[in-house]
Amino acid sequence: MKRYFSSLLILTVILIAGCDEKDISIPEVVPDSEKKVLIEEFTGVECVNCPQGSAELENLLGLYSENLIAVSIHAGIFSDPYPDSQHDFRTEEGTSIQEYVGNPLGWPSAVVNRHNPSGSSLQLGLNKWAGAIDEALSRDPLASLGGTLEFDRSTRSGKINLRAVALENVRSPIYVTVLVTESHIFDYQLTPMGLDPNYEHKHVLRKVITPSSGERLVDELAIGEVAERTLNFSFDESWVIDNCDIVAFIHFNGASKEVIQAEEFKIPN
Amino acid sequence: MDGCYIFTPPTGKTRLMRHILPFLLLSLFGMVNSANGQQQGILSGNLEMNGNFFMRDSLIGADNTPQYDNQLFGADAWLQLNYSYLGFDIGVRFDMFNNSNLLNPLDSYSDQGIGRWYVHKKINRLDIQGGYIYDQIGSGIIFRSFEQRPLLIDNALFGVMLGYDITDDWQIKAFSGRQKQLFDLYGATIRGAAIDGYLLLGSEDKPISLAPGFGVVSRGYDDEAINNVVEAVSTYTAQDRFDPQYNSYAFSLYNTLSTGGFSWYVEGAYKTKDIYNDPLAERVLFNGEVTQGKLVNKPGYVVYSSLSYAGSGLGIVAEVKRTESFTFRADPFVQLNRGLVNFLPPMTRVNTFRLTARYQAATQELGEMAYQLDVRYKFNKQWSANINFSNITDLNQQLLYREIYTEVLFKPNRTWQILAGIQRQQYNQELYEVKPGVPLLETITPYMEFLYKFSRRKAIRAELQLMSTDQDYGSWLFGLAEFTMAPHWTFTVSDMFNFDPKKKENSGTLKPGEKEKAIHFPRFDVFYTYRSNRFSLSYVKQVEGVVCTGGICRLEPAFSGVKVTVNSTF
Repeated sequence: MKRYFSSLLILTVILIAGCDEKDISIPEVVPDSEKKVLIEEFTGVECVNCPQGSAELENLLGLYSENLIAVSIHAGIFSDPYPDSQHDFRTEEGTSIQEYVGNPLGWPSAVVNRHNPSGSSLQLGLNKWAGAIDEALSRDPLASLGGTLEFDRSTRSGKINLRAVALENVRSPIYVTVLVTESHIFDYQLTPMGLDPNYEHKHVLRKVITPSSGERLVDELAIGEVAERTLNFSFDESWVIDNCDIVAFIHFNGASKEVIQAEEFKIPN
Repeated sequence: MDGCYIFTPPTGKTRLMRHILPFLLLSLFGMVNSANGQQQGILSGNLEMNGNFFMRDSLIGADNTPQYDNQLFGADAWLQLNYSYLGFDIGVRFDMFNNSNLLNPLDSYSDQGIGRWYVHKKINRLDIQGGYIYDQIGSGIIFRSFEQRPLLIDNALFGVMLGYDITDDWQIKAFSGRQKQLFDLYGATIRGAAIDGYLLLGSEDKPISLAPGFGVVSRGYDDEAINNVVEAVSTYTAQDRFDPQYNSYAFSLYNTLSTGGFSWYVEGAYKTKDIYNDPLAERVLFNGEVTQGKLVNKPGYVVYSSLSYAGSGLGIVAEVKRTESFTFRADPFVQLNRGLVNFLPPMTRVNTFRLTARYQAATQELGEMAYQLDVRYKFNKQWSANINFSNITDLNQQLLYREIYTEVLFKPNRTWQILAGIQRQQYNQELYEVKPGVPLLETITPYMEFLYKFSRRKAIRAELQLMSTDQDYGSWLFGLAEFTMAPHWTFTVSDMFNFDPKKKENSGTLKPGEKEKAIHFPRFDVFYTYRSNRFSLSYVKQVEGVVCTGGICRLEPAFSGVKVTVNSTF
């Protein structure tokens, strides 16, 4: 019997022979890019693990600072409000966006820049968000995006002028999507500790000003060329103006839905 | 529902090459067979097909998926062909999924292609296998490549396995490959080896046999997985960070000792440091907030033992298992039933009655202490009984699952028999179904089954079950009548009735003044069997619940519609 076990011992040694691996070091996150990355988190007030995703989102916003723009979309089976909820965070546009980018295979889930170089599903599990953001930041933007925002608080309406400048030749149609988010909303949310009536919801998608899948901005753009678009919008009475932001991004809308560049605008005083 | 598990699609070229090869092999064998016309090969196969017609019913929650919203129909099929010739065994399987809800019960999945092919040849003492391989080491604790179609688990190892019979009683095997991921492969490589033997000790009138074995498996993550780990860990604060490694190793030592009516199996397994997602691990964010869930890098172990005795009408099985940090996967980012390299045996009774099987304990791979005792006794030709007790806690002694199951069978003659018993369950729904704050679910379920044979060909079977509970959906009543006309026809009608509904009340979604509706979940089935072919047509209303197959479980949403199945062997 000895020789049988000795033969396996030899095999075992062969199998683990390479166990002395070279050390892998963990780098510090130091964003160094002109690019701004859009992360669309899919969530719901009945989703027990989604607060974990939202916490990770805040963690990433802290790390990537100005380079990351977040939108939380309440859609899908966990997004029905509770009977005592003050708000219904669901929107038709949010549901449309979820269908447009593909349904999550589990929650929490997010889509980073509507691009996944290693798979067909744009939806990513929580542990892959940072990697996808790094990957997106590592690629130079094809165009810049800027603009101005005017807002009349008395009529709760505004106008946004967007200006995209090509930094490379872009041979595919470019679309623009503009939406409204609201933060600091305290309402019901299921958490691992139970139902929390005062959970702070952030970056909640309130409205998409353009069509949900974007509005065609330009068919193609040569390096240095400029494309502009002006859009008017209004706020619902229930939204707190100072807690709202306007998020705009230019993107493709074909086989690739990749976001080219994004920008976040604060509501002016 | 928990977890995030994303699937990478097959890339064109590699997928094409993997799928063309089986046809080349089949063609080659066809030509060889023609050239050796006097020696005939054996062609066999089987078909399993399921068709679902989805009929939306928002009252039971069968809605808001693409199948109910607009697809309305879905189908899954597996067609296997096997061919044996001149000591070679080859096979190929075509898999098809159209609007399938198997992969993700909340979404739709469509794809088709070659799901499996293999070549096998035994040359004297050497056994060679290539292609998609199903196998395991010991009880599967460190390695098991297997298939569970109801949950769309197909963990076949795509690679090569060599076996060698050192003697008639001692075999050694070694393998290397990558795990199947739908129609593609996971990036990680899996290699391993095992030796299994048989020893006969003791005297001739009191023999003692031993079946010892030892196995080792190594799993090496691919660059992409490690890069993703590095990027995720780089966003962790100092106390949560770790240095990742590509390779992890799992070892297992096992033995079955048999003497007289006794059989004792024991297995101990150890896994070196491995990167995996621990959904309950505390993580400190940069803003100081503490949240749950992070990647960790820890070793793990499992100890499992089973002692059984059979003789004089008495059968006893006692099992114990302790698990700590023993998740072993082909990708550190997949969860639930995806990318499983190993299999941890379940430690609860496999219940078959509808209500006694409603709450099932999924194996907890990160930490579990479980034991089970099953005693069967046949008093005489008419009376027999079975009692089963299982108890599962986490490693902090918190109760996860406890079940006491009793069963008495009275069979006075060949014409009729009655089986009755009672089940008592305690089920930690908060953990198993991730429903925070819900109390420990407690049920009492008396049940009975009556079988009457009108003749050798005609029989009727009836079931009656009552589940009493204040938690989750509240109490249930289940009745079933089944009429069999052998050998071809079986007709079944059943109803699961939520007569004391409490789902909304218990989940906090009951509106003021609202009264919950008692809901029926009827089901009608027709089965037709012709030789080795079985067909069924069913109208089904099915409540959401945990569905387990072979000890692996997942939460399934409600179903409403018509199911058609075909099972054929040829």
